[in-house]
Amino acid sequence: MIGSLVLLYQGRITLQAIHEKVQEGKEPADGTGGDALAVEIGQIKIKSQYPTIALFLVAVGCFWLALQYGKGQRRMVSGILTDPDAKDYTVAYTGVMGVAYPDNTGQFEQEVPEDVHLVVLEIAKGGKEPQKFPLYPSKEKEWPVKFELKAPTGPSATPAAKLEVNPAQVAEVGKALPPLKAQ
Amino acid sequence: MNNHWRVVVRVGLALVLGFGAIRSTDAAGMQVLTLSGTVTNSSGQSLPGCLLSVVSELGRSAPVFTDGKGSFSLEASLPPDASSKLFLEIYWNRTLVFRQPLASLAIASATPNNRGSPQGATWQGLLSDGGTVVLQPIKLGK
Repeated sequence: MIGSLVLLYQGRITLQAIHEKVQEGKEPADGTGGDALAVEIGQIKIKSQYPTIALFLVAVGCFWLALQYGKGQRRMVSGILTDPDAKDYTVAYTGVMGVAYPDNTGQFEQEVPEDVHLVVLEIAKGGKEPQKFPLYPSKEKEWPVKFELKAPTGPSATPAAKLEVNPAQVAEVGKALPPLKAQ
Repeated sequence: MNNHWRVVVRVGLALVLGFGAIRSTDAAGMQVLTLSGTVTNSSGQSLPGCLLSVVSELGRSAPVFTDGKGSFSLEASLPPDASSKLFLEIYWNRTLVFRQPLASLAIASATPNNRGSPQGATWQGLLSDGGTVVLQPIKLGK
């Protein structure tokens, strides 16, 4: 964009249409129709006689291409939790802000950016100490990856008292808040 | 040539103002609040495995679990718009068991980013400038 401003300032490109310049005798009439830009992709034909608009369209094309590359690819990181109570657990994808809930068979999945080399999965349920599992998505050969929870040790080995929900502790909100699990 | 100059000046001005607006939004939105504390049940037993997250209409912090002792530490980026209310949410498995405005929680100790702030370690100062807050134990349930 800055380049086109410089060219415009230097007078190398103008805001005049090419055919107007031809009429003024400033440009040689070569019989090509005097298009600044002519693109034909299948049935779609784009033509412009204005050099600045042509340059602008080229810049938009470059910008779109940069956006496509910048967006990056995503990959599905899936796992299976081998625990009889798997569906009670929550899996937090540390560092990529994702939460997944295993289904009845213990399977869970979450999309992560492809350029993330290490994902630390934290798996826990109410009353149980979370367990961490580092995962290198690019090195995994088989999906879903199996996760086996270790038997609890230490203070959390003693089951915590059941938690009775107190509805008064859940404040009402006027507007909807973003969900915990990304849609 | 006059027309050319006008176009150049207008486009240049638009670019400068546009980039300026983006930069100021970034700078204002970068304040971070670090929260830590413990979660217990009504009888004072620590609760491991609770999932905590700070949420507002604009977004949500990365959720974290309480550890084996019921302790947690989480970071939340403060929205540039101070009027958007922040809540602390706690999930027990998939059930939301606690949601209260951040500013209503009792502070055990706090270090605001802006130590010279006349507000000191109050929620008002912490929510505008960021800082580190240790909350008093959060009791869940009846």
